[in-house]
Amino acid sequence: MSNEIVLPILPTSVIGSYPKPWWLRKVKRLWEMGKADDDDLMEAENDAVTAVVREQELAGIDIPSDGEQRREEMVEYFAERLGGFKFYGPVRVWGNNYFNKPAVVDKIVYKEPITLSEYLFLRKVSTRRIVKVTITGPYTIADWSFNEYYSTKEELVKELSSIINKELKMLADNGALFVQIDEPALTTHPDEVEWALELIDRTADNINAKIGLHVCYSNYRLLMPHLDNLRNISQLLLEFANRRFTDLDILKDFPLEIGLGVIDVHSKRIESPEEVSQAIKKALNYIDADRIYINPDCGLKLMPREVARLKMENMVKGTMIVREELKKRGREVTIFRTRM
Amino acid sequence: MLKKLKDIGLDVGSDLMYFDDDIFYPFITDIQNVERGWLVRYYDNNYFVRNIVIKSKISLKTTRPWFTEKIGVYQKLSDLGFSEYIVALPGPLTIANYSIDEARVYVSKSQIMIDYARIIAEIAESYINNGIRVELHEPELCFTSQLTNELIRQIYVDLFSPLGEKVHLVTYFGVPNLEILNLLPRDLTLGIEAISLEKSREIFDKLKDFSSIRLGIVDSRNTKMEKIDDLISLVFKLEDKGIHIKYLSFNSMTEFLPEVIAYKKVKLLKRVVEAIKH
Ligand SMILES: [Zn+2]
Repeated sequence: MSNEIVLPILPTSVIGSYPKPWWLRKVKRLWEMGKADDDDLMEAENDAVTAVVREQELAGIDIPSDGEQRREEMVEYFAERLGGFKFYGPVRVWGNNYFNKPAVVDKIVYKEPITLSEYLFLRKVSTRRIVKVTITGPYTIADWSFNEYYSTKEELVKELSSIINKELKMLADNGALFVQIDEPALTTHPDEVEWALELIDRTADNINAKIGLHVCYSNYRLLMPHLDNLRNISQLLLEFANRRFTDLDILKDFPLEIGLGVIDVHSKRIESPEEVSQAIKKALNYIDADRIYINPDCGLKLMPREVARLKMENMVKGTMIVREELKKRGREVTIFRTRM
Repeated sequence: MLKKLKDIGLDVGSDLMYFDDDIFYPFITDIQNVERGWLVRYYDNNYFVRNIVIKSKISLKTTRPWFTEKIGVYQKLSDLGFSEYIVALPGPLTIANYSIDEARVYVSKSQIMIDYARIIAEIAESYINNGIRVELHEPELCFTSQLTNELIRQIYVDLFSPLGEKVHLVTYFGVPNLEILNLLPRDLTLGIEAISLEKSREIFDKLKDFSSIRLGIVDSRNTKMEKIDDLISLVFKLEDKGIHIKYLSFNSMTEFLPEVIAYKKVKLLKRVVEAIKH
């Protein structure tokens, strides 16, 4: 990029999903019953995105997302819009939470852009220089689907990787600056991590945008040996609050930026600004501030909206405490990088 | 759900490896000095459990609230008239693997395993005394490589072996290696998945030593339907090799499948059982 974009040091962002306003859920139900038409739903979704983007910005978030207001579930959303998938019904993921796990029953086909209109609308309503678009990665789509068609999983991931590459290209060509690939499944099968990471990185081949990779609730140490091989991904966004900030030592000699998860998205308890600032300071023992972005552990969609809002506010307040201290040492900004 | 299973003719009434919340909860409400921890992946699945934080030395609560509630549930189920009941409990190695000894009250992981084993064996015995079989979920046996003879003896030989065939020691997400199979007592019912089994001749031969095998022949991690003829010939083949197959089952938890497919696969399992009986 010729014109450097400058952000406040420790830029704050979200992982993606944000609680939906009650009225959007209501319109969605009416739409499912045939009592609201597509335009009604689109209007409600647009209004919801406008509201939650504003809410993030008021909380002080530097890089907002559209809160994934138009999506129900991260794999389902993409599987529904690609050819080759079939849905048999929900399966359990944790506690009494279920997921409509798709099955690959035919060759996967890219029909049309999936997230482009989401991005364009977000770009229009946000006042921030950079917004974030989230895309479910090829490995997670494959791992969270039943494979009845491809002879190997690797073959399925390869296919998905080249399809998502087209989607990323479309986004970048239309001005998207920051795309986060969500790969919560990445470390599920330790013996697959190496080729999975390579294919995920290849998903972002020849894309002129910042590419982040989000992984959560799993063993990050499996990723460490392979991070040096990444050519396109410049930021890894990881959950740490849930695990009570154990494992922060992986950030020593970390070759990428870290999106530091400082807010537990599975607990309604609102973290105090001091807790957040202490967590950031812990991370600073291992990695320079210039390489840290601040975000919640994962998507906030399971939280009540007010709790999500307060959590974001305190996340920013906590970040401000550390920024004040950094300012005394003359460090106020960071450069927005697309490559390491 | 169970009513529906009875209707399609399944003999064993159980949770069908279906947990109230997750494999460890509410089970751990019967244990003193533990708390629910944070979310972690359950082995190689998109399935998450909360780990267990050990606050002090663990022991079985005298009141056993969860056990008492469960017994009540099974009494009601007996109205449905299944011929047998089975309850799913976490295996001691697996639950120890998902426990965090925050206060460092134990000198080693083995000590944690042994304490859990004592607790689980006591609960298992109580179920068996109430006419209910016990399914010990022990996928850790397929992942660990650090089990000593002594540890296996203390856990499985001393504590579970006396309970006999009514304890189903269920392994899944893979198969235990040969050394571990060598150490396990022969008088428990060993649950093992058929898919990975065919890959190893040695394991195949080792299984002959077990007096009761519960064979996981239907894949609960894929919606692709197995062909009934393949399953039947697999069972015959293994029986011909001298493996004592007493039960046929899914290869892991049914909650990994959408309900419609789970029922289709339960029916398939039933048809295999019928075909083999004739
Ligand atoms: Zn996440």
